[in-house]
Amino acid sequence: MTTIDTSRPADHGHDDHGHHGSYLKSRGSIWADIINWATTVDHKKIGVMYLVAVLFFFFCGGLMAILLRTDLLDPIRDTATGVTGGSSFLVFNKPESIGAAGQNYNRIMTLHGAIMVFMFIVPGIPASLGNFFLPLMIGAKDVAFPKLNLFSWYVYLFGALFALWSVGMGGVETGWTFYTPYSSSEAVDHANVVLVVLGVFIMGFSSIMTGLNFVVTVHKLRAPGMGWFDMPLFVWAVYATALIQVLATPVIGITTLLLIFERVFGIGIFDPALGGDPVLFQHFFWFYSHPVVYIMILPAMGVISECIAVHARKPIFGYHAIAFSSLAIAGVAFLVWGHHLFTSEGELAAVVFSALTFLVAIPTAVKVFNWVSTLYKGSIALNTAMLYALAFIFTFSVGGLTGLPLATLATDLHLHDTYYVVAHFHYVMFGGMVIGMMAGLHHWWPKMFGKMVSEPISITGFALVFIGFNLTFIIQFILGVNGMPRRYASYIDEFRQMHQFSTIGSWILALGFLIHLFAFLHSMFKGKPAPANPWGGLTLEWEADAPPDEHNFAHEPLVTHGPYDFDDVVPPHCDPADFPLPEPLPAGAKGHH
Amino acid sequence: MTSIHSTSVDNRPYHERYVQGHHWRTADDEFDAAKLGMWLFLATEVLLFAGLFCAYAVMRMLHPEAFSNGSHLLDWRFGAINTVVLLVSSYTMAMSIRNAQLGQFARMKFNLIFTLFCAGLFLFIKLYFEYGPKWSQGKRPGRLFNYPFATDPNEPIWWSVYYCATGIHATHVIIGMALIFWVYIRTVRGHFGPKHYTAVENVGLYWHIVDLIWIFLFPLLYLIH
Amino acid sequence: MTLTNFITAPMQMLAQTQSNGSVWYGPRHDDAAIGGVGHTQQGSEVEALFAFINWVSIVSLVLVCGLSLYFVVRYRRKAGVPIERSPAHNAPLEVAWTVVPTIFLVIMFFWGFWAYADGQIAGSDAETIDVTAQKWNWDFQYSNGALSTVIVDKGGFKEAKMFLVPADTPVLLRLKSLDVIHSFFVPDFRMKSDVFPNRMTSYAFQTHPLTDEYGFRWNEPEQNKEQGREGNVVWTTRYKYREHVIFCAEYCGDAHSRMSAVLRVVEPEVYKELVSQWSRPDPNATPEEIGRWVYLAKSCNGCHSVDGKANTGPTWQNLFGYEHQYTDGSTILADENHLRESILIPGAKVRAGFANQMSIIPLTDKELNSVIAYIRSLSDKAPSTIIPSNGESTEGGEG
Repeated sequence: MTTIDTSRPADHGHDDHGHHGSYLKSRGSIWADIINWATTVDHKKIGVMYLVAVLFFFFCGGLMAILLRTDLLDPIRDTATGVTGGSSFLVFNKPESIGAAGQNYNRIMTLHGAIMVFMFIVPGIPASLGNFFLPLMIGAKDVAFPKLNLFSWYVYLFGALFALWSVGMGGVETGWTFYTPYSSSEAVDHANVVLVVLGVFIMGFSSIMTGLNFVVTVHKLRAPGMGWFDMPLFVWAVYATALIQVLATPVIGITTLLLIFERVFGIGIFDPALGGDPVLFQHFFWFYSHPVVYIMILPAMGVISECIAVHARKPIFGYHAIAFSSLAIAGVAFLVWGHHLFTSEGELAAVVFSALTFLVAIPTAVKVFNWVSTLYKGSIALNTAMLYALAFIFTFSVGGLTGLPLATLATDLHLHDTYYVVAHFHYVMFGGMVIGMMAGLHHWWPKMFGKMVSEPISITGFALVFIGFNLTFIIQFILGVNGMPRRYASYIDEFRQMHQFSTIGSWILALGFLIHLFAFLHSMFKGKPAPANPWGGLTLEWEADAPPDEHNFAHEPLVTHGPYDFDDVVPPHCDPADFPLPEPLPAGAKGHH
Repeated sequence: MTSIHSTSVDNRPYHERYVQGHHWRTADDEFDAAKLGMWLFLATEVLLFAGLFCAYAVMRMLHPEAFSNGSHLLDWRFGAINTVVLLVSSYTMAMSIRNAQLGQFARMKFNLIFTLFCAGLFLFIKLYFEYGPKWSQGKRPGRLFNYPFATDPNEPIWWSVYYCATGIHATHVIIGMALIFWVYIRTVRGHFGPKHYTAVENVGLYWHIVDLIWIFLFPLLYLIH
Repeated sequence: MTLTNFITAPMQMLAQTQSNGSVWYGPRHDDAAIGGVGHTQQGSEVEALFAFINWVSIVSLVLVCGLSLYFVVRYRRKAGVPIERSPAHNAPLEVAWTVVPTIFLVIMFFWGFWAYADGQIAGSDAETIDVTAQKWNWDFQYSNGALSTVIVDKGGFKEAKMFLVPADTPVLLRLKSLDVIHSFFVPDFRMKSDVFPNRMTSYAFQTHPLTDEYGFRWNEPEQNKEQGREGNVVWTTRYKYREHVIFCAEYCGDAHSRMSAVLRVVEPEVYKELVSQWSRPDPNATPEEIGRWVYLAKSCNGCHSVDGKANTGPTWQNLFGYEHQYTDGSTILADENHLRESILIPGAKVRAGFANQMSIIPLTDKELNSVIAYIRSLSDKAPSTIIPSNGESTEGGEG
């Protein structure tokens, strides 16, 4: 019944046996600890370091978002006394100049997008939770290439600092998409664009290294007895993500490289003045940046699969369908980039890409239906992780369904580049990735740090985040349908009330996250010690101690049951009285697998 | 990385003493994983150059005349010599892996050095006979273009594609040389042998992909009309 | 197209019941015609399709979320109660929920494709207008060469240019850009098209007639003085119109959000008459008057004020005849040759405190000289006191 076969003899004579103590154990002095963490090759510590870094950038990007929303409380007005209105508080350079009134808005808008996409969303779940839990969940001692793992964290940080350096130099106002010829025109500060784009190029390496590491880990380091279809769905999701990371990121590499050459040497491949083609840049850019959407959403879907199964204590419905839909999404991800160019490419290409885009909807819908079916006849506990998982079903469904008019050619011509798109991708990215990450953090926090998070505080945080998020973005669908274009520093009076509504929502959202921050800090310092398996999970990470031992498991686990056999297996470290099982099935009639 | 709990000092060469990393079950697993990782990395290299080939295709479609004229300004003989040089270096690199597997250390060192020599020769031909004269004549990319006898207004684009493609390839050659040199140093120190030659094998794979990309670049740049 | 009609007819009714008088669709400027009809034939088709997709989405969302909520309430965890066994998959159910959404997706795709095709094609009899985009203005050039110099106020937003198109007539806009990528977007028409510096794109539509069914307003002659504050047009007739906002929808820099204009739909006869009146400046006009016309028609006013206020570019008031600081630290006297160079090669010398944002504006020799004459007339330095520096500045010297 348990996955650890203690009778297995040691197969090699070095350091993998016995109890080493928690990976968080101090080395004695603060300097020893710093050196230990800075040079660690332990996937758990690297995961935690990624977590700290991505959360830091999430708060930076979030701060930018609040600045933008607050700025949009009021449109810019051109009056006899100069520029007035909401934006004037961002106009600290040249308040007398109307033309420059949008400049600071545009810079912060660019920064918000670049930070959130390249520094938060892409590494987000895979590099933090993935790094920590992927090896644990497959019963491995580490990822395949531990040194490469540490190196990729430093590369990521180096690239991020490179990109942020440009802020000190005055910022960039190209938008995070860096569309040529605007991004290569003289109007935009030369050095800053090169810095940011170089930062993106460098962070791409980090992403490739992480993805490569995960693919090899899944192939070569699964515990004995764990076949492909015994893997937890989070592992499937991270595996599919890693494939996209490896196959899509090189293209942003060459794109950013060519853009840098364009700026530094004026090579002209994207510059119409020299015979180049600016739309080629868009194709290159979206060939990476559309799959990126799946790099962020797939791991979140994996987290949701774990949370729903564990907190509903129910074998996941349609395991194979969910696993294969992850791979299907990863595959189709490469074929749909052209839907970002419906308004700019030829008619034939637009029609083909529209058809291909609809293909993504099918595996996505299948996943949602499977999650809902898993709830049926479950035993559902409403803790914060589960609340986030349920919220995900709503927000992600809204995000997915509002993608339909964007995949449809005729309606996209109206909605493209409006607030409808802004709302749609925030429902997918925030409602998908951030909500998924919050679910995962609450689900695994006790395992990662050995402390429980206070449920009353974090449920308050959840309520504010959920309400604030929906207030902020639901109204933006209506704004977009009404024709409000995105990336506007100002707007006509008709849109004013809706913008104010949205801004107030964003403040509530920010408050919710401050409460979550407090809840996490509170847990770190004053939280109750966590049991090894507080939710009764069956995947291998729950076998480990909380926080896990430095070498993950005292003995290499031998897998004897599926990850979601809640009907037949008492979870490790749990009292059978708390997890009563149904009557066993007659011999020969096995449930899952 | 790993330590052997043994009371006596082990005097065997490194490749015989080698034990896999603590998280691997067997040395074979580790070797397979390293190779799988390398193949994935090579896939990213192919995709990186695929981007360049796309740029090439689109630009050539937009400006066929510029590409035809520009290609005639290249000397196909230098391209052909370089192709041969790289093919030979690929052979010696492959041989050095075979040498490692068979424990022929002297031959292995010679083959690595010869591979390095070929890589250097490739770069020398590229820089001295191709880049140098062209650059000084003003056949430069994009805005830097300054060649007075251009017959097509879009010729700067051709040179942009030419310099980007061959330049990024040459960068890979330089990285490859550094890696081969690193393998050579470790070979001299006795790190590789029949039981442990992961790095030699992987650097060899990398070197073959660099070669392979040139096989595609050569006809696309030098042999078009 | 029969299948389209078969699907659209009931949906169009649905769309109208859903959107009439609601907050959906279209900037709610003070126009009588807001009512979710899309204002063009293509736009109405998009409306119906959008309504269809929305209803499918709403039903699916309610199903998914309603079921989840029900399960959460019904199967809440009860201490000590064993879980119930239930199947971990169900083939017919799984096939059903794969196939049924697929059917809806196929309908959406084909309907979207047909409606899209309608918006891409204009008849050969279409009224063709050339539209030029530049940072940060739109310009319409009509088939008789006329450019608009009419500026109206728009929602406290900016001074916007006004353009005319004929109602209930196929119209084809041919779009091109002078600098970066823009996107021509009329929300009321439910369509946009990107505008590129290296190729032409098109935007085809046919507006609904100016009838009670679709709504219109009357333009009273006495309003003209306020509506058309600038320019050389005096309208004496009373005519029907509908008004729509034009936005730029592709991010194009500092003043992206101010790159808007007003599109006025009028009866075809009125359109012909007004456009012929707009036309070009009076051939007997003085160079300063022609310069003023160029200033408005070529949208110099988007960046350069004539009242001393700073904008994206330096003001033209007291520009001529004074010395100015430049970004390279030099000080240059703005004489005729300097102005000429700055117009023809905008990046040659950039005034301190400004970025080089200006596009190269195609001007004829006569227009160029007239603009310089106009700038000269805005200065309190008399032209006679300034002696041109004999082309020194056009040689690109550092001054």
